[in-house]
Amino acid sequence: MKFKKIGRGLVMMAVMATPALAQEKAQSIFADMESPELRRMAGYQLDISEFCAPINNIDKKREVYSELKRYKWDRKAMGCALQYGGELIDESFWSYFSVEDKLQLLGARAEYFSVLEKLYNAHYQGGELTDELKWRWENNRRTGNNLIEELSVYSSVIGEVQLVSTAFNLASTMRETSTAEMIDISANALQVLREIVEDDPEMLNGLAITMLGQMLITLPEFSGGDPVRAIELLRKGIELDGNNLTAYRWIIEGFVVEREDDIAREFLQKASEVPLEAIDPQDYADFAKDLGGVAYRLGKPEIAEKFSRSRQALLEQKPYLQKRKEVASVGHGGENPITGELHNEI
Amino acid sequence: MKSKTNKTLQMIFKIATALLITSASTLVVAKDILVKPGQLIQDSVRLAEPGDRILVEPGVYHESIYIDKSKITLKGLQVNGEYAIIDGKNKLNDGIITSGHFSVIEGFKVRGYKGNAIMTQGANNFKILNNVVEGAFYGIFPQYGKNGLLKGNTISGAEDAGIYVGMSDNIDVVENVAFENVMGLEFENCRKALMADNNVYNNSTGIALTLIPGLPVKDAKDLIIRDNIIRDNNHANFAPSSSIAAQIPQGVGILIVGPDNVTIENNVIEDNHAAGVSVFDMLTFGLARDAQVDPFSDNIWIMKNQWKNNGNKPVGLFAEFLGPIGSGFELVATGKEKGSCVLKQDNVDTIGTRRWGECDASQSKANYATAMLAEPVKSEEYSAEQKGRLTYLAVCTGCHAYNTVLHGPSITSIKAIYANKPEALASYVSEPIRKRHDFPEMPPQSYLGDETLAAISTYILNDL
Repeated sequence: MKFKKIGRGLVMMAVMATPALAQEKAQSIFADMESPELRRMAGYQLDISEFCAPINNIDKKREVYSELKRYKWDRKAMGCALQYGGELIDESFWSYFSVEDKLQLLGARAEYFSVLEKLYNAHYQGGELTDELKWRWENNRRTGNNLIEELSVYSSVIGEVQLVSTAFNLASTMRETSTAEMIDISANALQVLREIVEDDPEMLNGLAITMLGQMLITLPEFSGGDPVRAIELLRKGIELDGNNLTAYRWIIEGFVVEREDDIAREFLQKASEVPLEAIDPQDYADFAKDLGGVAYRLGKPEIAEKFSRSRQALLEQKPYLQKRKEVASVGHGGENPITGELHNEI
Repeated sequence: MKSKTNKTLQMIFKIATALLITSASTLVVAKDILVKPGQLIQDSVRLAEPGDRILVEPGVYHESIYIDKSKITLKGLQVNGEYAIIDGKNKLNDGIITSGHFSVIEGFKVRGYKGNAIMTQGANNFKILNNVVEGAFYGIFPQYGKNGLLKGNTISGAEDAGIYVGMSDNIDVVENVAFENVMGLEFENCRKALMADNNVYNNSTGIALTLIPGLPVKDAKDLIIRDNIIRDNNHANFAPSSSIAAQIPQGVGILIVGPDNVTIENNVIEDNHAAGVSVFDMLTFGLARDAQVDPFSDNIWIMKNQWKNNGNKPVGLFAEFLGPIGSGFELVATGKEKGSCVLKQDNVDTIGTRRWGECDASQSKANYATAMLAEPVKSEEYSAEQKGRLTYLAVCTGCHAYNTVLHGPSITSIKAIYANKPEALASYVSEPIRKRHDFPEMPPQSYLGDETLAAISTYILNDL
């Protein structure tokens, strides 16, 4: 189980004030979009719900749940999988749906935050997609928190319960979260992760190590950030799982923080050697774009091109994967309008 | 023999004709075109030739103006303190947009626009002088330009930045006044740029120097901020929550997120409640989506400034963030900046600067008068294809997103409706009629002209 970009959830550390609705002074088209009248006209008050075909047979439902929860390229299919997972818990006795199954469902819900997060516009939000994403986000948070509550009776005896709950909570802060809530969750996560790293660093393939490493790179110095310790942890994470691209991604950033670009390039090279088959296809497509970008930044175009080639081949083989097309919004992004080119497109 | 003579005569005639044409073309005298109240400024833009000045008499003009020719000066005349007012009446999106090189936009009051008040898009060697801008999303927004001057403007009420210079090089922003904006002044993904002698007060953040991911320009560097007054920037952030500006903190004098090689010197920085200067990296700021961009700010040089009473009353994020640590910090940094220094001054408290050095006052990097080039940058006229892309980015994306409903329908749905019918799309965009009751009414875009509308339509249908 891997959780990507949980570090971005630490934007909390960031200057991420979540303002109230635009104030009276605002008059732009974005301010308009927040006016109740316009939202009503534009049909933004969507009656969003998860339209998932009812499945009465429990075995069939389990099968569909197991299949669709891998569909990271399809927010609706994965959303249905999570709904079916919840129904299986409701319809089953405790013994039938084990703690491990519940933990897996909670882990899938944590990953669902990453799936949704990547669908938000990079620069501006608005419109029906954002409304739907917000709805899904809140629904996922609410349902996941209920699951955490159910699992809490086991947290003192099963370490994984604490770890997966922490991963879920951190992932939930990537969007739609107040600064105060982010700070609380982050502070708790730091404490929990440090304890797990101390007691059982190999738990869930070194997940706590990777997450703590991400946090220590993301946090400012005065909030406990410590890139040197982060690098140490992420090295350990890669030792435990040589295919852990999350750990590679963050250790490279750690070395960039420390301005040790040569070592960063070495890890980049190693990351490019991770076999495609070892990674979930959508994750690989996203990592390849990300790491290819890092390669350009670090002056290794040949590695960037390697990622680009393997990504393109994967996208051709599995055309249903999300391509993360870069498009402009509100005067930002997309291709260079003068040259018509996307900068180092991967 | 006769034939040879004829050929010679023909040749002489051709040369003489060519010389005559050349002489005539160089003899074209730039002219002034006067616009009076009740007339459309855009009509004069259509008539204007490179080198002409369009002089607009005081009065109120309700229109959007688009310039795609080089060397046009658009000047508002002031008589007895009365301005030429360009008024969007809170219905039109854009006030003045130019992609013409050597454009001069001067002396207007621009108010009531829902997108850009004054924008240059791809224009080089431009000047924006002595305008008063009230409201709008972006006040004055030069983008993709080289060698520009923004001087003497007064901007208030922008929901993003009052002056917002994006992806541009060799730019001077001098002697402007910015107040009651979310950000007073901003350099975003700019290289070699100067802010000097500006008065920046009562914004949410006074000055923002940013490197934003996901843009074609992947770096920001060599920025000088000197001799400005940056005071009391504590205005509540009134940006719509859907915009990136909603993340801008309240109470910061100068905010730096991502750029390298920044010098801050000889400014008055006072009464900014969260911090005088705040330096963040993009990971901390939550903007790390673009891996091609280096998220860390390096070589930040905080030289001698006049500091007073900053960081004493943090609100929002700064209060929650720094609450357990304390307050009263003139400088707040993440601690990840390399090659950075702060000059030792009395009563300047800092946090996050454990790895910073101490600046040497004798090594000022802010001692040049201008970031502009000595000679104009060579600039060619844009092709129709380029105009299509530039105008799509400047105008269309204000209301249309690629794959989702924004203010108007998605581009994907527009492509489906008008597939292989660029003329029909251009015609509709020129004078739209309300087709769907559940979308806001689209303002007419006829001011863009037939050629540009055709280019935009082709771009949307064929290239996007």
